[in-house]
Amino acid sequence: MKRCRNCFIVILLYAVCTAAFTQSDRQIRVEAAVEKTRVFTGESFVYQIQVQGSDKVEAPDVSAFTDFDVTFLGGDSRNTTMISQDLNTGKVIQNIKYGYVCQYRLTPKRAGTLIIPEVMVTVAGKNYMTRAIQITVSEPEEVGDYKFRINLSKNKCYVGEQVKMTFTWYFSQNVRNVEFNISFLSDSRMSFETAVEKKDPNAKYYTIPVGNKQVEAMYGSGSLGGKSYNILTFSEILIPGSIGTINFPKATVSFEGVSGYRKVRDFFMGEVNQPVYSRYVIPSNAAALSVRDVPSAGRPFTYSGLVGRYTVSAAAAPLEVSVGDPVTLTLTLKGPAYLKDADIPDLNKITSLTKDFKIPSEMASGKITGNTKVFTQTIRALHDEVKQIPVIEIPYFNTASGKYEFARTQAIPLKVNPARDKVTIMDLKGEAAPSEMGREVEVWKEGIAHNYEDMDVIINRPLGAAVIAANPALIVVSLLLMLGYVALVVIFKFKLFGLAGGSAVSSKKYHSGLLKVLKSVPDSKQTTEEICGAILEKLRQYLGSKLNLNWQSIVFKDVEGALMEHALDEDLVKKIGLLFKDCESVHYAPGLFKRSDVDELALNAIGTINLVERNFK
Amino acid sequence: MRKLLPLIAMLLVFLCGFVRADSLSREEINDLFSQGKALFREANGLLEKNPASAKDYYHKAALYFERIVKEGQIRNGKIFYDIANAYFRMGDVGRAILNYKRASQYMPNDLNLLQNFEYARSRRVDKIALKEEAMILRILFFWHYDIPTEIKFYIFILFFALIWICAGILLFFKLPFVKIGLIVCIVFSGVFLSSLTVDFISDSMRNQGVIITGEVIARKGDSDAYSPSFQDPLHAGTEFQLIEKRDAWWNVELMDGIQCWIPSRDAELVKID
Repeated sequence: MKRCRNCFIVILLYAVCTAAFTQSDRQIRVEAAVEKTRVFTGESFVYQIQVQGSDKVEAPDVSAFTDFDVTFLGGDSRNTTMISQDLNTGKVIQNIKYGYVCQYRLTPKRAGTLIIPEVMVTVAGKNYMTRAIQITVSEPEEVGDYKFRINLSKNKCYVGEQVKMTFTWYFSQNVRNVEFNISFLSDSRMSFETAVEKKDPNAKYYTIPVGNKQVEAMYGSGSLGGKSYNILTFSEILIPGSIGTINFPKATVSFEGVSGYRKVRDFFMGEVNQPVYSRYVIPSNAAALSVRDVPSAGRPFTYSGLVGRYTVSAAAAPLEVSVGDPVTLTLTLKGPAYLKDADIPDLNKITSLTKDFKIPSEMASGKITGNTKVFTQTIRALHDEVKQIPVIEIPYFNTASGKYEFARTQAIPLKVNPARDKVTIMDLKGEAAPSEMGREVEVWKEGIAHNYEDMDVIINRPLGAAVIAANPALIVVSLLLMLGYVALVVIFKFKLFGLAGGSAVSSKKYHSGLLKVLKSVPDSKQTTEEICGAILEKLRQYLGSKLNLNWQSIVFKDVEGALMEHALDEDLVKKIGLLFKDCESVHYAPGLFKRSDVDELALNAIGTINLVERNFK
Repeated sequence: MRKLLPLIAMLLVFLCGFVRADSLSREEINDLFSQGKALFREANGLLEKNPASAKDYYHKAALYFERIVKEGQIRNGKIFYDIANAYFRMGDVGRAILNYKRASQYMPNDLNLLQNFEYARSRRVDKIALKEEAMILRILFFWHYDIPTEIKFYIFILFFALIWICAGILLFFKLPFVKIGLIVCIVFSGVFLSSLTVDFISDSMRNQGVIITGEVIARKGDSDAYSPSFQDPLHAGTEFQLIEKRDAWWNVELMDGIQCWIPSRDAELVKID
């Protein structure tokens, strides 16, 4: 009956506690919140979606936030556990509150009253809506001590031409918590590359976040409108991808700058001026770029879109081949600073090359090294009359002259021998097995290896001392083996159960006992009679344990046959017999042996006994 | 004893509650892992065309994998390796190195991990050479540093068991090769037992850490009032050994043995409690 009562208490307690925290699961609330509701254009703020009552939240869709640039800052569980005790009943109640928060950084794209729309959030399979939030966005204005300027290296350019865009922030007061917002860096009509410029060894550089990347900005001094400022400046290379006039929206820089000073009393320094910081958002000047298309008139049919001024060089290896053998042709294109999108024409379109060479249609994309881009292609001579790799022409549009021009390689002399064997279509297509002249595969050390996706990834592995706790069976097995060994030793040592192996252990003991006695003879103070008596006793014990005989009455006749059976040779058995005889003689007929004779007897006996121990089977 | 029963029951119930609060079910872990993998693949697909969007996806993948670690209580080399890869793809070298270090506790000789770890280290700004004596120790006691604790434990158990088997055989048969085997087993089990003991006692990764913010000015003391320790700030991915904690500042020793102070918010320890 009492057992039943205890069980009832356990069940009741469990029910109470389970109810306590399942209750909290039921009330799901989804809220939206913003860091501030009055901001400037380009000033970012944090927008949160807060879920209470569950942490099983699917990523909300915020694609409707068209008036804002949105950066996802991550989502995080906000589960809390509270334990309380009811003062009346003394019951302890555990309450778990589940929660989840998604954070976004929003940057308004225009001024005015903007609405952050409602967002549908799926929590534990059910849909909930957040409320819409109104944000008042003002246009930022310039302040005397702070200016932000954008300069383009040119106002007119061609599609694909590289234009340097320099951003300079002027400030004459102390500043902190700086953030640049340049919305057009992600404009799909153009691409931006980080400008790599020679560093001024006397200038100071800072790495600052701009958009989704880090740029290195130079800190120095400069002047604007006749006034001296501290400046922070960095550049980007703009490559327009479409024609038309690009009116860049104003970029902004937001920061906390000194707006005044107040007097405060310092314990050590007395009355001092302490700076007062205010939040500023400063707009840049307006900038525009007129982008023209490259002319269609006179455009070579092999034109691959290169704009600027380019040179090209060629190299080939090997320079002596048989018909059909691969020749690696390397074309090195040199031109403006940023060659990421630079491409050379399809070599299959160059007739001077295709009439003598088979060129695969696929070509590896080039590798950029400094201000060069290296393209490699395998070509194969079609006949043995080929004497050279001809001049290869790469067309480009020279913006300086406004015309299409050609970068040309030098012709490369080539010795082509008749085919080593029959050249197949496969060879000419470049699909044959690799030739002996193929290059070794070289390990590419750049980049990282693949992710692990097998189920091992979600299996917990112990670390440190936890390894032992995780493998108790192994510990038990090895300890059992150790105990088993100890048990065997104990059994043999005390000759329990009369096992045959017991003699092995005890004979070892008697062997060492006998040797000990024999070795102690030269230093012994005993009489010859006593010494030989002791040797005889130990010898009997030893042979008795070896042959499983009662040692006390052993004489040589008892052991002679048995020793021969255990593979001891006749001479050795005779020596044992002699040892028996000598010891018995001295023991039973004192005065027969001198002390020196007994010493010699003991010395010889050591060798004999060791031989017995070694050869006994 | 009977009076204690309800108390014990209550304790059990609370323990159950705590387990539920902190850990995810197997299905939830599987779901998180599947979603994390899908996001990572999606990011790989976007990397060329839309790096900014790819970065978001990598971030989400990392968050999913981290939930498996934090809330699912799953700790192993591969999960930390995957997290590190996601951070590396995002360009966050600091957190990538931190998680590669965490992964190396579990699988120090995994070839992919070694390759990625080395590559991530090559991408960090600060080049700090390892102390010479540390390098010598790593070469001399390579088995201690290169074999995971779990594998060392299995090897030790194997040789320990073989010791008693060999000793047992020698009780009956005096076979010379068994004698040699016994000596070999004693030596190996001794070597691995020592290595395990060092692992358990020292817990070498306990105080190791990595700087995770882009730049941090290391100082000569535990406040901004002290002068910087170096001409340039330290950068994300710089590894260190924590010496002392004082409020929001850590006294750390860099890999070359130089000590400095950094704000604790700018770094994270390898060991996860």
